Amino acid sequence: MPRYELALILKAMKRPETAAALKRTIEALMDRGAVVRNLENLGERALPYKMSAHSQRHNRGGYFLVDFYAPTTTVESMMEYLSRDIDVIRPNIIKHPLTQEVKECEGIVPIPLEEKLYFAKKRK
Amino acid sequence: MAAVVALGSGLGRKKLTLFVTATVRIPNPGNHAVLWRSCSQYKQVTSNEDLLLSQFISPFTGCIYGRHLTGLCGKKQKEITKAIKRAQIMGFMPVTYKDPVYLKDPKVCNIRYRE
Repeated sequence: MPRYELALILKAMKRPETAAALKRTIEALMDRGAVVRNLENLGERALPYKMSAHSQRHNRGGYFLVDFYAPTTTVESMMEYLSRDIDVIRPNIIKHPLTQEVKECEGIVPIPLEEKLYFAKKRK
Repeated sequence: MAAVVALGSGLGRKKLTLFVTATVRIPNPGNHAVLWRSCSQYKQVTSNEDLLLSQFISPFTGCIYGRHLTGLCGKKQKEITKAIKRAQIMGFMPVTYKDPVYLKDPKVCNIRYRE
């Protein structure tokens, strides 16, 4: 199963309510057959811009990262579920960045420009 | 570093100045910022890292610097741009300005503002 990352922005709430929202989210993930690997809290901070969700304007939010393994078909239903939850400001599921291959980059390769100056094919 | 200098000598004078400024390093790594300069230094871009991505946008308008300013190669420039756009949409990075926390970073891009 491929590895996904859920970048979740929750409404700025008190601690027990945040905990309840997270528990709800993770249980919904597990109901759809996902295996949750790790949950990180990036802290509650001011949002970079004012966001409106579910007819409310938000200035602050709690940032959470959930990485999990899930079958590919359930990602859509998960996004739909999260968009219906009123405590969630912005849900985003992306492929986990650590699973992407890192290719070696050689930098800018110098191209011999004299060859490009003249037309290579011989004109009749 | 040697690879950077070799490339610089191959490309001509204009690019050489670009790479010469690049070899400046921060003396103390305890500082807040990361100096990304040549593409080979640069392994993977994730959209969570505001610190790395904020170095490539303008502090006044928040627009992403082009290739002639950042000095990155084609692939990395594209990756950085995509990561910046993704971070902005996902709600990790502001769009129209640079986060004030990162304003004191050393300059990575080749742009000079009037004081």
